[in-house]
Amino acid sequence: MNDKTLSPVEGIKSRSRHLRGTILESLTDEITGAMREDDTQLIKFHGLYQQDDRDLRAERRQQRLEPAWQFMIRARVPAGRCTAAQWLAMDAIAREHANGTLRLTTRQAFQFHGIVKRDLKASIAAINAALLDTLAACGDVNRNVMGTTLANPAAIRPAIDAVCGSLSDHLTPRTRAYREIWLDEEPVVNTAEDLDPIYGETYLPRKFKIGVAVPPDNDIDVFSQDLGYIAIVEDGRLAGFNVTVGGGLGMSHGEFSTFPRAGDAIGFCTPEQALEVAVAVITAQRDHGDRSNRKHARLKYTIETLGLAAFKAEVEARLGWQLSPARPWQFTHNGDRRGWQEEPEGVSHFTVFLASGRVQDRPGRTALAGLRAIAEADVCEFHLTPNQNVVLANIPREARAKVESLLALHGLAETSISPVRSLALACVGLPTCGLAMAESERYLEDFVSQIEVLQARHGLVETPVTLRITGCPNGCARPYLAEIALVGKAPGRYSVYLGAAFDGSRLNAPWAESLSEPEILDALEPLFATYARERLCAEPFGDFVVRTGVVPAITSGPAFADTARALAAARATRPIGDGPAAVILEET
Amino acid sequence: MTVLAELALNQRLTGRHSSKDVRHLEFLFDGYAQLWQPGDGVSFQPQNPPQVVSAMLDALGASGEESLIGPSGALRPLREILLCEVELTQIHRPLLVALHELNHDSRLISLLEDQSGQALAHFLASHQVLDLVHQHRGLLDAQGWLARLRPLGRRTYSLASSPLAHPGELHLLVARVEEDHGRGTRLGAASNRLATLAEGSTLELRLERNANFHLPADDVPLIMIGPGTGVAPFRGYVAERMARGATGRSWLFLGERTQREDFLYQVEWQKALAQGGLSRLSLAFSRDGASKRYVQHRILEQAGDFYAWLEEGAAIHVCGDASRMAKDVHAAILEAIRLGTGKDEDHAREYLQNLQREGRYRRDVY
Ligand SMILES: Cc1cc2nc3c(=O)[nH]c(=O)nc-3n(C[C@H](O)[C@H](O)[C@H](O)COP(=O)(O)OP(=O)(O)OC[C@H]3O[C@@H](n4cnc5c(N)ncnc54)[C@H](O)[C@@H]3O)c2cc1C
Ligand code: SF4
Repeated sequence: MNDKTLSPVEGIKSRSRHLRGTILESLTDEITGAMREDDTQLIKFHGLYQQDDRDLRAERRQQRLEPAWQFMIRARVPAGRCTAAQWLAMDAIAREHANGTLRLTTRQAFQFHGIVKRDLKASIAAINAALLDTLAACGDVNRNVMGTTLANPAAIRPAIDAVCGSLSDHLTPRTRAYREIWLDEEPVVNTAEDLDPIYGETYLPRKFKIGVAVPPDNDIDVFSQDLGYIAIVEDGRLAGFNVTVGGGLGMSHGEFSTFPRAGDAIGFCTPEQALEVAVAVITAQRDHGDRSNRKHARLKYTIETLGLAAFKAEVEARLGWQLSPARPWQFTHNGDRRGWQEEPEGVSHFTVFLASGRVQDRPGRTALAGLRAIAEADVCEFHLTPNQNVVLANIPREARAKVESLLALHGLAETSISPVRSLALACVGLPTCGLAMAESERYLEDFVSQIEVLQARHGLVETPVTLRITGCPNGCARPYLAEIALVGKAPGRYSVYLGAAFDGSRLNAPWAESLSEPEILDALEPLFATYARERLCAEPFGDFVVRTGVVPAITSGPAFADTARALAAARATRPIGDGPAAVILEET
Repeated sequence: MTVLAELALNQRLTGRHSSKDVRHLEFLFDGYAQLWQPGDGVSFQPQNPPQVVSAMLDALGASGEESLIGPSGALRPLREILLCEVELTQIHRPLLVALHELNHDSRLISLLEDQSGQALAHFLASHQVLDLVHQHRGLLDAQGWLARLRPLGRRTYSLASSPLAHPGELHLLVARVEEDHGRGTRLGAASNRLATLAEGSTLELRLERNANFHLPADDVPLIMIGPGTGVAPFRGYVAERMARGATGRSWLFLGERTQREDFLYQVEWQKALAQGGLSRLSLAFSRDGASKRYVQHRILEQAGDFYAWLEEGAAIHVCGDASRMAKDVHAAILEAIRLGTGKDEDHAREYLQNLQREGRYRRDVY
């Protein structure tokens, strides 16, 4: 721990009586649609974000109305496994209380948008009635635990689900505040009873993310997690996990002390040891993380500060035993499988593609109604994927025809979506996210279409490329692990990052700053042209741009920051009046 | 007294998704600030909406160029008479009587003979001259109709500003009357004239003093009940009291349809609460919950406090709708007093009559 002044949020947490604050009073205040200021921090721990419709901001100011306050609710779904009944419950909440759409997140959770304050309690109660919850879906705690969708071999799936479930359960905050506030349980007499053995009084310095990946699939982007588990399968059985620490993608434009970082493997543990390791890593971060600067508080910075070896030693000291050496692994697949997948026993799965995870009814493509109809048929599970799609899982042979006809009826049967479109991710961004500087979700489909045109021109239509867009550097759609990433800088302008590994094992590099769409497309065109001509057999685009020196290979978080700094410096010294509108960094 | 005022701001206050169009107008004028007080009103001579005039000409089969005589007695083109001289958006009983005398219409008889008066009131509120012209096509020519229509009257609006807090300015809060009773949109003459008035244009406004509805002394606690546009004078009251540094507490009851779209002057009330210019704000949004909540329900819910304020010398001022609100609020106040005193209804009535006599219960309803 350091003795610098604590960030204001630390004070709010410690005064909150285990996350109670004045949330109850805020909820009943009709004079504003917002929560009291301190409570806006605390509700995150309960799975809520206060937002406003930014499209209406200027107009409402003139109307002497406060901003159109509304809330986002996130429901946790460990590893994205959801039953048909749970899907129906979420669908009903979306239509009754939210904006009539569901959003599947990049962490395999549900998000509801546009819920007004007086509807929060009913919505959260309904989520809990469906045996899901929102506690710790946001906030400085462990978030939704991620897990590979339909891991192979199928025989290990129960073991993977069990690990995800136990991590999720044990790392949920113990406070009763949640049930008191949202589910009308009797208040505890002495809130000191809520004392949390893992989180203590002030929880973690910052959010904490855990994911379990089963090679060859790295659909969960294990290197983006604070704590990652890479399953090691031996003789068809789950032998254990390689443990990775210190991944994280958030950063701030122009602040070179912030950077994305890919996690490092520090050793191997058995399935039975996985929870113990998590507790050791989390409590080490609890005690050593930076509580003075929230932009420097994630585990990745703790590790950069202490050094990886020292951090590992700290973890092992807490465990009282040593991790065995990491075992070899290989990822060859990222993203979701498209269309139908068959299992030997006649069971099949279908991936329903959802642009940016948005489940909504549009002319010709009624995803909300279609998935509702399939859930009502009650013949499959609903697995939310890390790429914001949903897999209709374990459809028995006799039900397949029925599912196929419902998919066709609702325009969901198409399997002809291009690889780039099916892999593309965007964060929510405008109009709801307060941090967004440029469009993301609302822009993704347009931009993907432009890229498809470019790919077609160079015969690359069937070549998968990971493409991600976020409205700000915060990294909600894991942009720094994409082969091509656009990160919002100002309306219509993006910083462009290139060269992550397709399998998510290497970060991309800052390549150009503040480009408009035509500038981005103009700059990518020659790269696509040479890529089409000169790529090695099956060489992914990200590897190609690194090999040919378009961008450096980024091997650490600080190296990413160095590249960003060099880019900014080059931009600052460029002659005014002529030259390109933005500088493209050739090499560092 | 009349001033020529220039419209500086015509701002809609209700949100984009509101079912209502309520506007805040700011006029600029020179001098005489000392003559105006919050609680006063202004009136102006409206014109009929051009759409209504055109529809009338169509219905009458007239071009508008015909020279005819309207209430002013001068020979003028029909279009001008319809625009400036006669009421087209309101109808009154005498017009129905006149029509009945001409053609003994059985529907008119039942309306005119209805003892309760409710059917008639409803008919008058939901019909305009155009509807009658359609219903009695061919009965009268244009001059015949003109002879039976009322002269277009002035409309009054409460001052929504404080001359002390907003010197040289005069603010109005105007709900645009725009209704559909199944025969197409029916517009109110004056409210649409104001709602569509371009910034920069001028309008002649006449001060309508309203001595019965001025602020009490600075130290008197004040309960203000003003749902809908009834809140207008209270915006002036609160601004005036803040500008004067008045010490009396103040409690405002507001009502509208929805919290999100129709909370008139929301940000200003939030500021006044934070700065102490308003001590308490009770809200009733009728379309937000499963059951309709109105200001009278908020009074009853807080009857104990309401009575306590009265015992501490509070004055009650009520402004807004006369047809239902004023009666319902009156009943709620009586009930709060009955509960507070623990005595019977007669006693409560006497208590309220006393308040009225002392000038502590005032109403400005329309
Ligand atoms: C003392 C006083 C203060 C007033 N203060 C305000 C104020 O601050 N803000 C404000 O907006 N109005 C106020 N009014 C009401 C205003 O004077 C007008 O009556 C109102 O704007 C409607 O006029 P209009 O010419 O637009 O409609 P009209 O042409 O008179 O009427 C059109 C149709 O609407 C119906 N109608 C009339 N008035 C209303 C109404 N209020 N609501 C619904 N339907 C109606 C009529 O029955 C008719 O059928 C006040 C009235 C008085 C007497
Ligand atoms: S990446 Fe930035 S803009 Fe996008 S949702 Fe996250 S915080 Fe908002």
